[in-house]
Amino acid sequence: MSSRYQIVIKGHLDHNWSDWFDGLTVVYDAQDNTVLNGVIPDQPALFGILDRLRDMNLTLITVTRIHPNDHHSQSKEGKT
Amino acid sequence: MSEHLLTTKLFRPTSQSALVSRPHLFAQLDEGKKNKVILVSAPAGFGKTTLISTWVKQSNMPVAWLSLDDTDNAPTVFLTYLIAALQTIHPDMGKTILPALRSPQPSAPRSVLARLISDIANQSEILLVLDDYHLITSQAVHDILNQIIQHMPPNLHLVLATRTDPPLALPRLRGRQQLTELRTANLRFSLEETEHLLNHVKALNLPDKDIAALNLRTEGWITGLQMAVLSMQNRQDIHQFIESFTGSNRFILDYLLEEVLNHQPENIQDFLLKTSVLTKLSGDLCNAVSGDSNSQNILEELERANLFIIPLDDKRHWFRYHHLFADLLRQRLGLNAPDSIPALHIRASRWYETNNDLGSAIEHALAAKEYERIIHLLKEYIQSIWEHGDQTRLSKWLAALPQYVIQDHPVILAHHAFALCFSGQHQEAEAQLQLVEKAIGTDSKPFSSMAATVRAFYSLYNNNIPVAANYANEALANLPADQHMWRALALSVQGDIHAFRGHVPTCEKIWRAALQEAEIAGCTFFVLWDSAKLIVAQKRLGKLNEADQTFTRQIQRAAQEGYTQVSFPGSLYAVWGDVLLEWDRVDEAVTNMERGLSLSESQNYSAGIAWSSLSLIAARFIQQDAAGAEKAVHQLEKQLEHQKLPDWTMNWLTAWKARICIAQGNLSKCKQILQERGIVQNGSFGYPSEVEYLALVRLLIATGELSEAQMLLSRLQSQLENMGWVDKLIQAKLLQALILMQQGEDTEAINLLNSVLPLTEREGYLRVFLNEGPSMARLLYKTLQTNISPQYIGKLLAAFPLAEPQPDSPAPQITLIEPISPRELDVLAQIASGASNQEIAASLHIALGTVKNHIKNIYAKLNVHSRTQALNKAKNLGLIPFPK
Repeated sequence: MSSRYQIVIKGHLDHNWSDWFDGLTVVYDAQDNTVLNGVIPDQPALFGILDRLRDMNLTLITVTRIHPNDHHSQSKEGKT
Repeated sequence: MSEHLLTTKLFRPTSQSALVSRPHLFAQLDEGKKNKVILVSAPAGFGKTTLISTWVKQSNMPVAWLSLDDTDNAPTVFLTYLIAALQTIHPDMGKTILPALRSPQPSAPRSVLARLISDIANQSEILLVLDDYHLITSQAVHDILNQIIQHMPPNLHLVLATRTDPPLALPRLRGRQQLTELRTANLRFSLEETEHLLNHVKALNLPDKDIAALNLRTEGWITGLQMAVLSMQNRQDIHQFIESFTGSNRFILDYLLEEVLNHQPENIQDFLLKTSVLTKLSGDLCNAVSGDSNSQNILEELERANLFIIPLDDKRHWFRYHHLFADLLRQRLGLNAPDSIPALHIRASRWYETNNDLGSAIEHALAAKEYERIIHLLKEYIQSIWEHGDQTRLSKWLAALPQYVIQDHPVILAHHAFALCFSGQHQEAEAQLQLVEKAIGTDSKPFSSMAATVRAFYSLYNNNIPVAANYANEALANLPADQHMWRALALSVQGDIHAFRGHVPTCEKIWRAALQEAEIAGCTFFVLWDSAKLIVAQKRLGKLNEADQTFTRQIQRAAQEGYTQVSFPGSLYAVWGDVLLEWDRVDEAVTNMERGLSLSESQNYSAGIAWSSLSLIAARFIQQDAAGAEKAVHQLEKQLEHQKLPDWTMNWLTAWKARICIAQGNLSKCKQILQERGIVQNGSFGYPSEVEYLALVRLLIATGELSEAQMLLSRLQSQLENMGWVDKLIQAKLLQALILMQQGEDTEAINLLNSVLPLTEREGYLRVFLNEGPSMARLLYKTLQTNISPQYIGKLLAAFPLAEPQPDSPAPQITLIEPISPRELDVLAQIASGASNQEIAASLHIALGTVKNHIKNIYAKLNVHSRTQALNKAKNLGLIPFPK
């Protein structure tokens, strides 16, 4: 089942990385961390993206699923 | 080692130029040797491989190195490479297991592993390094690792390098403090180490605050530091660089790669981007892909410049990019020139095809989504799938092809379905077939004949004989003549069907044809399989010499092709053992049968287990090892409790149990055993119950019901003649001859015996006579007296064991020189019933003196000195029946 996800990574990834991560949009938060945003078709696809982040030695901060009815994300932030 | 093995996976990556030595980490690793497992778990680019490689080099321990990749997710591939890695230490390790891995039938991993572990335990200290374990996602391989960890011999030290903590039973080891871990925190460069790298090794002479800033920015990540070094080495204004770099929040690799790349000459940049599509690099391959002709030099230059290129052997033939570097390059290529990517993959695919690496050729064609090319390559690849044992990759590839592509090439799917079927995945095989049939209908003749073959195979396995027969006939009617492997398979199944129906000459003909097809197809595996069947048929037809020749020829072939352990079919040894047994080469027979049994067990090949076990029962019985025979019977019965063995197992087992009972004089038990199986005098035959009916004949003879025995025997003989089952027919005729002799019909008995002599002499039959004991000796003696084939019969008689030693005679003699007369037999019968001489005289209406005379003669003829001795000997010679 596809869902909208938001993945926050430490550090600033250029916009042109969007293609590498299956077309997720690249924006930045207040700490200049990278926020990947978009619809991911299923769990295997999600883990595929997480694997690619792992392989780049990028630090994962949060992974949040965004409810279709929410306008604001509900995320549980982990400490880094 | 098979030529399909990539030796690059076994190559320990050598350390690159001057590195920072990390003695504290070496110390931790040294300590780790006391534990079962050393885990090195950190993200990409933290120097895990380099660390382990340099540590291993100075440790002076034998090392087995295996760089894992995606293909190792297939358990057989993983085990093959694991053994290959261990063999770099000692060439014999795991040798006995390799043939089992090469057979398409799934082996029982537990027993395979148990043997491998015991091979390892016989060595001195060994370090086993598995690099890039995070690439393993298959539970089957995790299970193998868990088993190794659980049963780890004390001389083995396992090192796992990974980017992700593996889902193995490590927490338990951690709890028991049997696990040594080097994690990200351990591998980060400390401030001191960074200083050492930058100022001492690379001679950059940076001030402390710059060192600190760089260490902070990179977080001690060695790859980041190395790339920073590269950037700094290319610049005049190092400070400017450090300020911009440490002040930026941009993804390190991005930032630094750009720096590094931009400072390379344009042709190098071009080279790096284009070759980033490759998983490994050689001068020739890079020339093909990049269009450059100078690739070898470029590769060596890149290595000298430390540009993240790693040699895969010590001949500088193969290299690969560091994973991170390759990913970055690919990402950049995707940005700069996305349309060029498919073409690059195609060039790589063509190169691999020319260089006989079809697997890699297919992988690149898939990346380019060139479906026509993939199909073309798959057709070639699929021929040798039996040698690869690589069904998992094939499944993966097929899953990646869109439906409309496969639809036009159902033949490939037929191959896949057969591979699934043969490895026991019948349902998946049927599902594949149905998928294709739904798409293309049933018009495609080649496909439908292959589908029929697959269905014949598993119908047979499920004992659905009529259905299997239909499919097999359909397949053979439609398979083109040049499809040798498929024809071999279909013929093999058809032969089996005729075996089930008891048409022995037909089986022999068909299996011979199957063997020929398999030989033309060059498929050693099937050649051996069909050979075992052919030998069985030849033996049943009474062609012992041909059976022996078949075995000798095929064993030679097996040895030449590296199948010296011939684990499948283990039954090849057992069926040859049966032939040897007929020739009275009993010890040899037993050796081969035991070998057949252990090989079949290691492969969990049920037909082989059943056949070898039954052969061993026969051998023990013949050796008059009653205890041994009974033990073998119990073992087989136990096996039947927890494993499905072929149906015919019960027929032969029953027959042997019955014979053992008769030999022990336990006639009522024998009757019970046979009755429980429905084996009664007027019962109907049906392959292979004839063997049980022969046992019933023996029971009837033992109980003295000779006319009943004869009636059954004559029915049985017709049946065996119709079936063409020659060797059982010989047995039946000999039994009938013995009955005739007991009834006093000597002439008829001798004639019947004489009728089988030409065949038995030609083929060297011995046991079939010896097994019938002293009464057969008597019959042979009588025949000898009629001057028929005196030399051959003399030879047979000489093979019989002596009942009593004759110390003065130079040659072995039979025990009875002069036959006992009918009158003397009457006296003996009276003695057996316990009568005194007086009583005998009264019963037989002769004088007491006459009785004493008879007794004197009897003693002389039997060479005994007492009534008891006379009775015993007479019983042994079959002159008087055993008591009821």
